[in-house]
Amino acid sequence: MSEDQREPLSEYRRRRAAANRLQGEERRQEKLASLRARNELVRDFVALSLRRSLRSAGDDRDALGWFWFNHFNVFWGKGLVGAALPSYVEDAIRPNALEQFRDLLLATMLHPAMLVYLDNERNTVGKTNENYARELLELHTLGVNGGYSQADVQETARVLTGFGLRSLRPIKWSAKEQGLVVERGEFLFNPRGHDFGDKRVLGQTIAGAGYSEAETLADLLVAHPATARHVAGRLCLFLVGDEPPQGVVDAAAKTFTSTRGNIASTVATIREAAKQDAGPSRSFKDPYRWVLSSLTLLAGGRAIEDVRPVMRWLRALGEPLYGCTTPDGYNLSGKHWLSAGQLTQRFEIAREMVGVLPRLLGQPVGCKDLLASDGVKRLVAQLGGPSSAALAAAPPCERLALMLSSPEFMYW
Amino acid sequence: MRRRGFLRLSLGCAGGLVVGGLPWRLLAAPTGGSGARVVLVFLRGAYDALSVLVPYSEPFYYEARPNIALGRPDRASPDAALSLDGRWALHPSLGDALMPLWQAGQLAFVPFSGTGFVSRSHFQAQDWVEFGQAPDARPSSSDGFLNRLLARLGAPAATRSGGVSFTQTMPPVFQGKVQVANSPLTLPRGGRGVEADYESLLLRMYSGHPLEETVRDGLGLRREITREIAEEMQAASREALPAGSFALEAGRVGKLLHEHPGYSLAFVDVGGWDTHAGQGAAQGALANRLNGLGDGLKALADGLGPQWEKTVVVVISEFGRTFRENGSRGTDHGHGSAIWVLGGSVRGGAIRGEQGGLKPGDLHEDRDLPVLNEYRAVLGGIFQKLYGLRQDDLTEVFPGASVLDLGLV
Repeated sequence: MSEDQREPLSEYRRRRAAANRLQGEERRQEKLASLRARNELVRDFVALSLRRSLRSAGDDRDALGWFWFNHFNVFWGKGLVGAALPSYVEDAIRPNALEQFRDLLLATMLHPAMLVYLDNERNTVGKTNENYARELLELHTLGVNGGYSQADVQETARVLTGFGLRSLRPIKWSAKEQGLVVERGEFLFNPRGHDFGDKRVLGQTIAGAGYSEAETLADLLVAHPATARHVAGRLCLFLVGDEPPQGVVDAAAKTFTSTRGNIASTVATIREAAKQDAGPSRSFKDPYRWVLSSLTLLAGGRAIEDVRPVMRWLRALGEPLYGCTTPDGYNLSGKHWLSAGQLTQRFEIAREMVGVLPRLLGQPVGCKDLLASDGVKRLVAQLGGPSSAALAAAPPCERLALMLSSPEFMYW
Repeated sequence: MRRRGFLRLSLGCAGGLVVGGLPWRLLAAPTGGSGARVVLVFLRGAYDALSVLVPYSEPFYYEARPNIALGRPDRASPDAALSLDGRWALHPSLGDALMPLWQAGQLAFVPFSGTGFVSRSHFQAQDWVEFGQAPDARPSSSDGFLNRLLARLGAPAATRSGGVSFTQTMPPVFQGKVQVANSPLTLPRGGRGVEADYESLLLRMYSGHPLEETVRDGLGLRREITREIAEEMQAASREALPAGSFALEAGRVGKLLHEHPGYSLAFVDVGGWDTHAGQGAAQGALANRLNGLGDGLKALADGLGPQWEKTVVVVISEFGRTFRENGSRGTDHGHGSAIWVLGGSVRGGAIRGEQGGLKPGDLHEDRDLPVLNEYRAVLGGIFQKLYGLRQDDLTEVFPGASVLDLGLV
């Protein structure tokens, strides 16, 4: 991980440790201050991420970055996860978003954000904690019906014992331990916490070896057919929509397997297969998709600098960026988000978007000019009879808001 | 944060609300045939249960809270807590609103209640409470326990399910397969609602579309709320209650629910309970907040009128607060809390559920009220009695919970 991204996490840990050496009210105040600093860091990072995503709408790395974060979801509100969030996104998720799934999996597995969020930092020999091991199999790789047993979860947890965070007090390693320790930034593989016995996961033996067992485990999981099916299915939900045709999912799983989990190739296969068969109907946009597509359309290539209203809209619609508290991430099915309240909120937000657009862009913009832009004209041309009739009856600014509220624009 | 601040609720209905050509009152409510209604009130931010339900007979309470403890019951002192039984007393600022309900046997408390898991993050704990999964299960964002309850009560998966949430975002507790109506109780930013002209344009776009009815429903509820807020603003100068107070708002929820029996399961949330500093005692920030909450619950009961008999209001929070006060005369995140149960047919006037000791060695992690009555078991017991649910229904609503019948209803 890069120096500037690691810094907030080290700083947060140093500060918490220092606070713990204080007493009483002073200690409380210092702890609160460190939490406030963490929250501010998260807020700034969310803003940065949104500005970037608004700039790069339609860019695969950015879109897949959102998808993989959601797939390997962590929640910033748990302890130091917030301080580790920027590095998690920038170092673990984004660089691997279109590369090898194995590298992405390992990067999340060994990242302090994940180690803390799913408690693997507390998973040590003799006192195993299965939380991460279970999610690793159920959510990240094989899927809930991926054919693993409780014994597989326990054995996976044994493999992962000792993978945690650097100790705040220096440890004196013996010569033998010296060769086994792996320390990188705040990450530590601690041989004293590791179970060096052999393990048996999904019918295969992982010999007790220390740090390299994580790599062996990742290889084993990536090569498993259930992982190909599960990951391909999720990618299809994200890229094709609700109820993706089985043929598309099968083709994606096949490419995933033959490329040993190359993400760009799998995505290309999905795109190609979906050209032939994109499924029976379009899907309802989740809030993030609707907000981003609305603003991209309105901004027409101009940069959006002030994203505070964008954060508020995403919260109001129930899908703030990096805001899902549970490990399964936001629901990828469009249907999940469809409700009367969701629609009326969007109608109101659409009008607000048009109203505050000059502030978002930091420059005056006229509704008439916007209506003349290529993107808007393209959309208007696609509207059906009822929407066109409604637009024709409205003044320019309302026409824009109606466009974003139209049934056509609610689906992708 | 997506959690809203203190609930700004403004709803009313002078006449029958007509949506999509159908008066809502004609719609059958999914209540398992009982006609019972549940209103869940979520206090977001973890309220200090030991300031609501004061363990006045415990010397340790007074040792642990030298600045913020409520005084022992004393008729001569307006600041003293109000005795409920030999062990517990009520915060004095709740007295006017809730003592009559307590005396009428329509209010019960379940102290030592809460969740089986320990999370000190508000967000995480609130979500987990709302999902209602077993403490050792992985919390999943797929559905919440009120939505599962609606499904078990036979609500159709389409619109007009009988669930309504007075929140901006669909709360996790109501997420799931069954569609639920929701609306914030505030005007859109900028203060203008959707005007009739604009609304007709929206409806025109959706005419003949599969979402037409959903849009009609949403706009209908929103129109009611917007109109009531506008009327409220005009009348504000003549209102005895401050605009935006929970009392005013909850009264309107009561009236709306009264007008629309089809809404058999309702949810509201009230924020502002995270009292880390200067929470006060008989007077102060928390006292004011409790006063508004109590008045609101009373107004809700009044608004429901005769339907109060068939209504059960349950007040919960994500976790409790520390037994000891902190250095800022407030309390920090804790564990065990207390559930309130109110309603015309509630068997109240009593503290219910298992109770533990409150000596120094009795606390959870030497800091918090322990949890002896898991909230899912308590709520499951209420649902079972109200709706005559079978074991497999309950397992669906609260997986892995063993239901506690505390005789609350």
